[in-house]
Amino acid sequence: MIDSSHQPVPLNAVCPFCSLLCDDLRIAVDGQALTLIGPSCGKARAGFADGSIEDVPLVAGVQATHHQAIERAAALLAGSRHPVFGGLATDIDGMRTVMMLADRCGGSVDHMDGDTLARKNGLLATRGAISTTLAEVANRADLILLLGEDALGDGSRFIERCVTPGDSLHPERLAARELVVLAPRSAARALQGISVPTRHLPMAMSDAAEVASALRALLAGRTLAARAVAGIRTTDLAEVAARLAAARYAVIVWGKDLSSAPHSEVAMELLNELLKDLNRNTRAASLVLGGSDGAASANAVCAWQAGYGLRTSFASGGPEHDPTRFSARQLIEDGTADLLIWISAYATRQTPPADLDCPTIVLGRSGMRFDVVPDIYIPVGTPGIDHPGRLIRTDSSVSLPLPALRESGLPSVRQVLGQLAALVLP
Amino acid sequence: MIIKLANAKVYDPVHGVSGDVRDLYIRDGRLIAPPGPDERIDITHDLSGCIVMAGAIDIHTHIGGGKVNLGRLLLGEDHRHDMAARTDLKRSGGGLATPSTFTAGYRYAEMGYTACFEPAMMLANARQTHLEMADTPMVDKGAYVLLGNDDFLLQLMAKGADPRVIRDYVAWTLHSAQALAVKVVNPGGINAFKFNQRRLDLDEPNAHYGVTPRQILHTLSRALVELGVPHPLHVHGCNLGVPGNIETTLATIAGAEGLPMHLTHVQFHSYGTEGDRRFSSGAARLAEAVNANPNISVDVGQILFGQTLTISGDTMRQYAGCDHAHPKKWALMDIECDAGCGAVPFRYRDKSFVNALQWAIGLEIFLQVDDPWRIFLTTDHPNGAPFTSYPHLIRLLMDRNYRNEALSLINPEAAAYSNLASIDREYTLDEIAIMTRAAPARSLGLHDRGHLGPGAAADITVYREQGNPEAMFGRPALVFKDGQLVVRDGEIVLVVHGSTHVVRPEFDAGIERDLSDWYQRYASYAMENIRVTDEEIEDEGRGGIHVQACRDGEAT
Repeated sequence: MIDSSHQPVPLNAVCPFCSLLCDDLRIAVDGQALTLIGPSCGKARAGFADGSIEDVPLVAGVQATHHQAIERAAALLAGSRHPVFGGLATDIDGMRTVMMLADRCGGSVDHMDGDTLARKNGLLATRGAISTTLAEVANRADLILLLGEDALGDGSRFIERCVTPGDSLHPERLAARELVVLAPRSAARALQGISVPTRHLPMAMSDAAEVASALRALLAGRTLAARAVAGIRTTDLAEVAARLAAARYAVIVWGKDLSSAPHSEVAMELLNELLKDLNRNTRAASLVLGGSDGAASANAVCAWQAGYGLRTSFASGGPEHDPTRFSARQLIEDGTADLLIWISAYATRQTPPADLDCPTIVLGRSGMRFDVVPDIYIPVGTPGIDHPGRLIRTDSSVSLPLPALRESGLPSVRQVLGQLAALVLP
Repeated sequence: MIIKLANAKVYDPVHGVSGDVRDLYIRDGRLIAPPGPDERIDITHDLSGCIVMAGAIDIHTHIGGGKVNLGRLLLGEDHRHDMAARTDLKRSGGGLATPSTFTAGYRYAEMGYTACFEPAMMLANARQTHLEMADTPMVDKGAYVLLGNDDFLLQLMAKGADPRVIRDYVAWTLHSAQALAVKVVNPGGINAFKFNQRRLDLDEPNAHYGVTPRQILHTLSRALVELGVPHPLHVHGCNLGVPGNIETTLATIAGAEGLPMHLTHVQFHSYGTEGDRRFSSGAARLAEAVNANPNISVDVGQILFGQTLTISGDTMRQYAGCDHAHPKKWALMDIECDAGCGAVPFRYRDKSFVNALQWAIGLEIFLQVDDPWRIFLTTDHPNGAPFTSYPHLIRLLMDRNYRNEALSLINPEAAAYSNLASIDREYTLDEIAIMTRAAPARSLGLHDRGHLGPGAAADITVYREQGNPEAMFGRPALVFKDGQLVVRDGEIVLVVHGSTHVVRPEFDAGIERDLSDWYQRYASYAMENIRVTDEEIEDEGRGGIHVQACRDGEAT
């Protein structure tokens, strides 16, 4: 797989940089340099170009051997009362090793996008959901209601893959397909040129709950006195409601700009309830885009190994779950945790939050630069670039293998944590 | 090294051994014939007063995969109420209905089980299913891949494809998913629900493809026979839970036309419509049909009272049951033009007429099917009850007085509707050994499991003989996995990783041309990427793969 000549060799790749896990990428490999040939995606382009192959760890900001760094990290871990494993931007096998260490050491686990995950997990645990997956949307949907602009533009291939696929098992559904977008005005540009009929109703994301509530009321047959809801004409909303009711298979899609917004639980719950209402008579489902940076994988592994999603602590001897108390930030700020092990294998900019005052070990993508120098930095490879990996997709039903693209010698998170475990655990 | 198990009462129905006091010998993980006088015995366990059986095998238990994980996230209560702390040996975890993977493995071993089979693996989700099974220690495992609701197969059937093409597709799916058998769930019904059909009886066509459940059952059964796959088509039939569904189930049995077929969790498919409540037992009719049709095997899916979570690929029927969710939440998913899943929490109440009668119907089935080789002990974990209730269930089968006491405590109207009190049968240890070991191994084609003859894998469970079968089966004295002592007095003493059982029938790889094109046009990943490789399961030596032989098929 290594290429010593200067002729770039295009390789097939699976993209680890967002949770759509596109597996049709072609990457030019020139020595250790990686360039996206296609298909076009801003996120993939930046992700493959990011990082370096420096493998020299830093201990207190000073270069050290790998062995020295591991020994020092092991000493910190062994002396820790409650280590919190944060970031968790890794692959399935990295996460399995995180779980083993957290369990054995009485630590806890949280992802860098833990707030969003906590909302999603919380909603599932209180109300449930009715959801669907990428291929179902691409083949079956005749109406797609998209909230937010996360899935639009150069940073996502959602529209290309799911809204305007080249082919469909049910061509009549594709031919009838409409896209309705509830998103800020800034989304308008990204909507140009979409090849299915598209209607944009400008909406601020903070108004999503109000709009969802109105849609649900309209679907229930109620008449709204207001002429507009959150700036959208009630007649327009009534039309959206009518289309949802008439659709054979409607899909409501939202991404991180909804699910990470403060108090978005209400909006998401209303959308879920609206979908449950719709299914009394017709078929409809949600697709929640998210779970990038390994979040979907980390959450799933935590669920099967501990029985709960992330923000789980093993401090009491077994798993306990609390979506607020066991956030990495909370555990560090209230003095419960005394060591942060920050795992971030995808983007060099995803360093630990600079305002957290806690001894820190970073397993980070090679080439990371720090504003606040961690106690230990061990460069790691990226799954699907430096070593093979497996990741779970945004819809949490499909997981894909990611082949390595080069032989950089950078270790995986699994390997580094395995070395730590060998020193720390009896 | 030779281990001797001395003076044990052995129950090994495959070899006609029924409580005879014997010595057994283990070397290199296998049972061997008595060694010669010159051979050294390294360890001897004196098992006087003990009963020895092969390790138990659960033929149908939902222990891994996306639907189980969805269930875990949905029903955190199950884990809050049952936390299992870590020990020097064991990882922490917990949960009864949807236990964490480690806890599931430990608890199965602590009950004397040495193999568990996940019955509902989607190809789209096969990788995760195998990952979860890999994190389930102690036991061997395997999974049945779902077919019959996937658009590819229904499309093939709709255009009248050559049976050889379908056969190749079935074999390709078994290989790609690393599966041991094929299961069909609500044949065509999961797919039909995506087209908003809310019911689908045996001869009702799918609104889009025009294919009926009967045709799907026949097509898949025939393909498996032709491929020589040992386990017959594993059928979760139409109309699960619907009063009157006994008619569908009997029609399904008749429709098998002699082809082998396994009907799973038949308790949920044996309901009549007699009486004021329009809900009655179809157990006697079901048992009569099973007794009369040697091509049919069943597992029961017994319900036991308490909180559990129902998880199933049957989105159509799970949606129909969501108003009964307890607590009031549920999750449903359409998945990848392949299948779907639904998770609905449920609490079975002994004072509820319907639940109490379901309980009685399950027991009636157990007690009225004559041949223990064709009926397997399951609760359809966790749909009828968590698997940890098996020892209690065994006692209900073995102890008539205990059963009748239990009957006197349930909803009296339901008790009056059941003929349970009039059934005297008590299962014998031989019959328990058949239905929990020998028969599932034979049905799945696991030639070296489920018995204690020379050459068999030394998966062995030792119980202390005692009057109370629940206590006996709940806490084995010793459990050996592949010859290693892993459980002593119901506690794990050694953590091992079991192997994964698969079948690999021969097929014409030409099918991949069609499939590759289909994946490229309609799927959300390349065909190559959905296949689970051997390396992934072997995981640097942590897991092993046992390829079970297929019979010489009847392929032409």
